[in-house]
Amino acid sequence: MCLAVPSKIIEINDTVARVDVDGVIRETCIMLIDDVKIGDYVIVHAGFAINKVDEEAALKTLEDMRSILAMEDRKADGLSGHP
Amino acid sequence: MSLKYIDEYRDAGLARQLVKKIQAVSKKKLRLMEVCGTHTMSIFRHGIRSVLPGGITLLSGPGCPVCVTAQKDIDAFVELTKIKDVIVTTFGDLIKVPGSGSSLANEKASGADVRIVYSLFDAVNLARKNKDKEIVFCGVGFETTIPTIAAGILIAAGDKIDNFSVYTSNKLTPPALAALMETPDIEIDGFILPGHVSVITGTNAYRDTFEKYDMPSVITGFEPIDILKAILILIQQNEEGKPALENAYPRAVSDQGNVKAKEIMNRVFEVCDAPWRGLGEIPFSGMKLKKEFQGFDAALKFDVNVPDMPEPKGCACGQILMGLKTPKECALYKKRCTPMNPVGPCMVSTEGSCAAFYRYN
Amino acid sequence: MAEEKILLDHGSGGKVSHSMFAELILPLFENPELSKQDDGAIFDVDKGKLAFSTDSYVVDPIFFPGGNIGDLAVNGTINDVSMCGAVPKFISVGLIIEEGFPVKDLKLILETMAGAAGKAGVKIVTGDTKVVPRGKADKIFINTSGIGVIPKGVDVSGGNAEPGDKIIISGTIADHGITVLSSREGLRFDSDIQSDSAPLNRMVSSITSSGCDIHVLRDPTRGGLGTTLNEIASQSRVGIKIDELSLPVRGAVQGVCELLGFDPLYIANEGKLIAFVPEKDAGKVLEIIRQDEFGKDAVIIGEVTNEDPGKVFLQTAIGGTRIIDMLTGEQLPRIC
Ligand code: SF4
Repeated sequence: MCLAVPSKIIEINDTVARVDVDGVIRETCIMLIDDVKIGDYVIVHAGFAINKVDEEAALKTLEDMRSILAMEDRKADGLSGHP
Repeated sequence: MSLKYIDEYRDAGLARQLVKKIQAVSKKKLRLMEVCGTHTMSIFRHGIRSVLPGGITLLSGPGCPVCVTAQKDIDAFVELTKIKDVIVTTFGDLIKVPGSGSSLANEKASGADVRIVYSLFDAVNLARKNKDKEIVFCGVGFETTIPTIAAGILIAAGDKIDNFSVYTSNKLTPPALAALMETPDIEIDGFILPGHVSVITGTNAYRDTFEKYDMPSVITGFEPIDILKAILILIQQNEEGKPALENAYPRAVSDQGNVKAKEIMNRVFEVCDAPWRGLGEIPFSGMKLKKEFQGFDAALKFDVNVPDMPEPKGCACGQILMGLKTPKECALYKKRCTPMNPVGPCMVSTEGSCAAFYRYN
Repeated sequence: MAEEKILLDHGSGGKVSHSMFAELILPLFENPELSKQDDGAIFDVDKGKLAFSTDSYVVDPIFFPGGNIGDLAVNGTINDVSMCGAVPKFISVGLIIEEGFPVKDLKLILETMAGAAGKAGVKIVTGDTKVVPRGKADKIFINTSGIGVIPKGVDVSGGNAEPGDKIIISGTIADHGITVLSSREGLRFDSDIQSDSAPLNRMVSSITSSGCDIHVLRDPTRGGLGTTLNEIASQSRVGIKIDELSLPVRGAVQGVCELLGFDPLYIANEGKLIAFVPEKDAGKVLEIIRQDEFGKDAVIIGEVTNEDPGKVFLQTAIGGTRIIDMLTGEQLPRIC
């Protein structure tokens, strides 16, 4: 129900920021979030930043998933007799 | 191309591994509901249904704001276009949705001033620039969008812009889920919960509903990896018989959500009962302007009186939104009802189930 | 021309019209056929087949990064004629101008048209100008028609696709549509995206004269690649399968699509072609296209199958499939 795209903050003027999505720059209102700084990634919905992207959590999600899947693969291989 | 936080979650290799894992753990027949229309779109766009085991059915839920906007509200939007010196602003999603007689697109074609905006910001700026006109915004959307509407109203109030108003038809997600759970005959084995609504509400907003009904529930994002991960977790919970409320979108969603956005939303709006198209009235599922902001209420500012009209005969949108029917089970689907000539709202919005089925199946 | 704005008189056929033609148009488009100032152009034709095409151009805004309505109108018709396998020779230009339109803008548009025609080696040999009262047209509309000669032995048509054909696209998709959209008032994107408006006649000549077997040539303009592939699938009664991972999309274009909820498969291109070529010749044709100034990013995106005639399938990056239907209505910026 809500399209929103992670965008990088490149400039802040009071409650309006300029954000960059791979070379596309547009203005975004940042009055719905606190303590943003240049370089942060925010999730933009209908012209408003609705949250910061938690970089650590983002990395962790992917890493966790990779390691769980890799473990499963090893387990599966082990069962079928190929170390 | 590099779209950070998007590309990594479209990684083909990882996605294919996840699919393999899903195939391996899936045994039971399960009906999983993606509540949110943007999930529906993403599922179609990435061909996710086609890689799932045969036993897994995905149902599209009531999370498309366009589909659930009451016909009467659409009729009111249409009436607003007919008032002298009014410019009606709307998100593009809404413009083709038929009310009982006409749509905003129809009125625009016959000369009404209807403009598509991308943001509330644009609507407020339009009011700033056109002092001799009244700018009305058609306020649809869920928790993700409501704070942006509230922010727009606060900006207008702060800058004393008095030719701007909003016709509110906003909806809240958790009450709709609870209402869904109370519906007789529903068969749902798990919810894929909307990622961006949850950015605002936080995981905690679903806690009560979850505890009451013990329904496997996973919040997730909109990229293929996010969606596949949620499906995998829901299958595992079902196979193990251990329902849980999980957050698979921690890069954006926290337990308490966006506190500031909620505060702004609650400063401007208060909870009310609301009519959902196809589902009927759901208690505490809407938001209306608080007393001190009633000057921005288009429904009070303009005298729009629209009669209650029956919903289109034969349209099964309501049952489809509850997972009771699939579009193909609607007698009008692909016959009288097509995206070029939609009968019900589910055929209009690109994320509506019927339109998505029509386009991608 | 003394006036700063176009007046109704400029379309009257009287003195003012004549001076506009003589002072503004003729010097820019100068060639023997046009200079005669007859009611029509007269020219010799080679023996063989002719291709003839027409198109009208209405675009908002009329100036956009990478071009304007003028080169769009010239290149568009050059490309339509070229897609018949023909070598475009002559084009006509019909201008419908709104009263009050700035003469300097008109001049800029005409200069761009002359430049585009010159670059492609095509002559503008006849034309017409009408001026309509304010509000009866949106700034300027342009119609162009073109005639080209089809070289002996060339037979391309949307109905010629055969199972086994490889599908080549000459470069990135959706650049034009996204550029025009992002320059519209209200959206306010800053980016370095540009329209891909370009003449493809030389590229087509190199392909058709290569001795390779060419089944279909098409330019995926309005409706985008998705719609064009559907047209070919139904004309040729074949199935088409394309691969998402191979589709060339510029980063910024993809970015705008994500922001507005658009699918680049349904966005217009104005300087791209798709070629359906039997597998044996596909590698060679791909190389030829890549040699062309407008074909550097050419890739193979899929193939023709004999399953599901009339349908187009996309293999998604994650290994799923989805149907690509024709565009069912204009895409609108959405928030959902
Ligand atoms: S196919 Fe049309 S009529 Fe049937 S449920 Fe969907 S929108 Fe309603």
